[in-house]
Amino acid sequence: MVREDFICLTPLMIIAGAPVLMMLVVAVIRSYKVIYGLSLSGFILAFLSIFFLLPVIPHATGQLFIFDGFTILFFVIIILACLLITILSDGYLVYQESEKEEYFIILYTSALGALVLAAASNFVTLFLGLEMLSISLYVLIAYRRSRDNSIEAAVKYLILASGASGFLLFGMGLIYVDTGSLEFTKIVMALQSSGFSSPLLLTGFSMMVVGIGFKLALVPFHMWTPDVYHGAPVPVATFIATVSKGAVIAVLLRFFYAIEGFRNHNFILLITVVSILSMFIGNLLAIRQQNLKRILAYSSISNMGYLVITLLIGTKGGIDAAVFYIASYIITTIGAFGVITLLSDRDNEAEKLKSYTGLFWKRPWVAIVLTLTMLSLAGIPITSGFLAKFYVILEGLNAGLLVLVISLIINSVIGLYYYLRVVTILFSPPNDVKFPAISPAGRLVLFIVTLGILWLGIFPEWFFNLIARF
Amino acid sequence: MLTVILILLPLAISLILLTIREERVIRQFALAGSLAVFGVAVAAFIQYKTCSHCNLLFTADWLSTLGVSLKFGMDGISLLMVMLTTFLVPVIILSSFNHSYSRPSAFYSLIFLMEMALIGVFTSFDGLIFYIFWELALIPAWFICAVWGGKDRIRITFKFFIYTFVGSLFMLVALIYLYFLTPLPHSFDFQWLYAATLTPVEQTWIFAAFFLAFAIKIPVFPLHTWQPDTYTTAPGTGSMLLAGIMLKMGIYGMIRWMIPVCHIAVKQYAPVAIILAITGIVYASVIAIRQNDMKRLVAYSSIAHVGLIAAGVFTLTLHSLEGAVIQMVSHGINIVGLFVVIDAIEKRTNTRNISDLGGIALKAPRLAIVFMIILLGSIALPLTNGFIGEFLLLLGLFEYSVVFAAIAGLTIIFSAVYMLWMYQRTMLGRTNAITEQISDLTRIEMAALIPVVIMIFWIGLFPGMFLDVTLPDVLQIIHFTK
Repeated sequence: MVREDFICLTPLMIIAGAPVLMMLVVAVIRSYKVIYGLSLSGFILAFLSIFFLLPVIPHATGQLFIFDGFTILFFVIIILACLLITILSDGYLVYQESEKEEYFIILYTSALGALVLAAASNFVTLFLGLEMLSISLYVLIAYRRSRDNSIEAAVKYLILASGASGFLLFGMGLIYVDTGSLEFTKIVMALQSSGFSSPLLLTGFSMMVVGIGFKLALVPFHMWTPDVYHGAPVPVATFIATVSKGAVIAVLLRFFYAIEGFRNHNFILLITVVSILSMFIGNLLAIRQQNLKRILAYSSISNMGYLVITLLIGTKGGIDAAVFYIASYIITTIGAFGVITLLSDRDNEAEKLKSYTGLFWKRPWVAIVLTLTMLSLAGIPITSGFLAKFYVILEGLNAGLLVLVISLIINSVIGLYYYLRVVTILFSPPNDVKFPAISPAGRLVLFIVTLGILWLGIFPEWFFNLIARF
Repeated sequence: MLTVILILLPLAISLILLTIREERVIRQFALAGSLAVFGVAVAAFIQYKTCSHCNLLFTADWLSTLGVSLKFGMDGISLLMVMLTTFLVPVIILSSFNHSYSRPSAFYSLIFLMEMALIGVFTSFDGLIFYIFWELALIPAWFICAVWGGKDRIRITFKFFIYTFVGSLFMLVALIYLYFLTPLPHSFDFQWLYAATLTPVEQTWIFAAFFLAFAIKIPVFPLHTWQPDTYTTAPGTGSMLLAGIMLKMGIYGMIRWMIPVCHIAVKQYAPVAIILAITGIVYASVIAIRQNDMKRLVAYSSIAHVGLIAAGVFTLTLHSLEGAVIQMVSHGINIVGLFVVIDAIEKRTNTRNISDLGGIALKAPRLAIVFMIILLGSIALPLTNGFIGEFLLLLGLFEYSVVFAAIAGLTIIFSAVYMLWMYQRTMLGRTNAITEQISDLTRIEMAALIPVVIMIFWIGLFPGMFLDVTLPDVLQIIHFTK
């Protein structure tokens, strides 16, 4: 290993080392505060270490990882999201009586999985990252096992995710048989000489689509999403919706653009169908929901539908649009889930839409934050969500994806319908539901999220340039 | 620079208002703030006049990679619209003092947010920035109506939001499509959008999308169904903002870039659009005659009046376009005046039903006189502001087609019918149990209405100065269509 390898792997090593350290600490002294402090500082440290990567990129460590601008962007997004989720989890874990400490350890292993995915340049790392992410999530989803739906959600996720992993692995195997390599670059070379013609290869790719589609909750692999979001502790649902999906999108974009899948008419057809179905089904099913967590679950299905449009664009602009979209989506979703987390108390999660009636009159600032996230998800200007959609539409039209763009437009209207419904509930005459007070740390998260949504929406230039540069 | 101040000042006021708690202070600050914004607008007007159409340009990078820049400025048309906006906001704020709104800081803050967005719409010289402000104006308007509105407000404002949002999205797609037709490197700048080369088919599609967006906002028949309900259920302030200023965005958008960008399609489909607009005039007028709720009556009369403006715009004649701009201003002033009067009556009697009222003139002569003047302006009596605009619009329509002009001319007769009949039934005759104790206009209400009355006569008597401001720009627009 050379010096650059070490530098590049630092963030991964920090994230991998921190849980080991935490386990040792737990063995000696069970102090929640120490573990919480450790996990905060671990993420901060990992974030800072990214700056040391900047001079050495692009750099590939062996055959397994690639560190380029794209990786760095996703590292930053994932680690910052994890940091916010850690703070949110703290407010939530207050209500957990025992064994709070292990939560952060498992959060770290899943974050490690996400980072590995973002840097993966090989099927081995892709699969390792995905499994690290999934297996940690089985535990996290069931973490508050006394709650009604936790175990159900975890088992559902366990069974379906293992099935999806099986598909993924089998698909990789078939591709390996045909191309003789697990490395992205070698597969690309093999494809360039032989094309996509072989049936073995096509079967392999289709099976991988099942696996990836499951992780992203694209229709028709979306069934688990509402139940898991509903049953999981809110911070964990936040993690699934943001970090987990962001990491999978990262590796998907990298692989898909490397093999130039957007030139193959089978892929174009497949992704067009999956994208349109996800948009419509996600949005239409969200309309009648009475539970905010389920609304966000369906909304995430449709958002992933919008996002996979960028796969077909096939230019640098397409990748930029995808990165902007995922950044905007992650910050907005953390905001929406953050409000739910912070308003939850020991017995009840603040998930029923009805309990939010008239929140504006009782808690104006929280209501404004939630409103802002809803408007951002709906794509209303001066929020980041608008520019994200705008960018996708712009690049989509540029690439001539008229059907997908029109379908995105129609779905924006359907989406607006239920986002607006949430907002109207916030501003209705108040009811007598009492919500707990919000801690200063919680306020900080909401403040950061608000700032992020507006900053990306009003002063997007620096971020556009940042994305374009990498 | 003044242009930027005009946008940022309302935003600053809006944010400061959020920090004030005491209602009395909020109101005073809001009024002072709105007057200050008006002052800046007047300063801009003077500067524009003295530097002979220098456009008060301001440019800053925004998304330079995509060819979007923060480009603000004013030509004569923008300037007049900004003057209208900043003039009406103090009037609207004064009239709101009649009511006590819960969470006043949020309420007044939203008014200023809306003012900022409206000024942004009228001053942006960049397509995407225009769109952003256009959408942004919807949010505070919607909140004002949905939070402080009347009966059934959630359902009605929902419809309003979805309706206008659909239109806007069509505009966005058309705008982006247009962007790719601009010369390289693509840009959203108005000058580039004007320079885009379009085939007739593309013109038709882009025209259709723009027309949909603008026609919903105006609203043009048959896309008007959101309007009467929304105006009726909105709080007085909301109705004034919507009817007085916001719907002008649609007409402004048509003049500003639908006509220059797709003039071939505009010419081709002008008869269709004019027929729709004229149908709306007759249809809304007939319905207005039968209304018992005064606010609803005014809402329908508004459809008729703006229908005439829309019809005039499509004739592409100099007279009509000049008339359209001046009539936008007049209509804004008149309809806000009418809403203020109706609001004052409702405040005193707790009803807006014409059948419950009568004989108010006996008890409240000042109210009756002011009402009469505004009403005469609204039915386009010579020497009032309404006459100038509607006369020019009809003149333009006449040049285009005698038949259209004849039917559109009905709007003046119809509006005289329903307005004067409403006046007769509410103001004249005998008092009844409800109007027995009615008091005359308060000082605050007079303060809101006197500027309106002054403007009605000013524009009516000296229209030249308003018409001159916009003449070069209207000629410029007509030049694009040649």
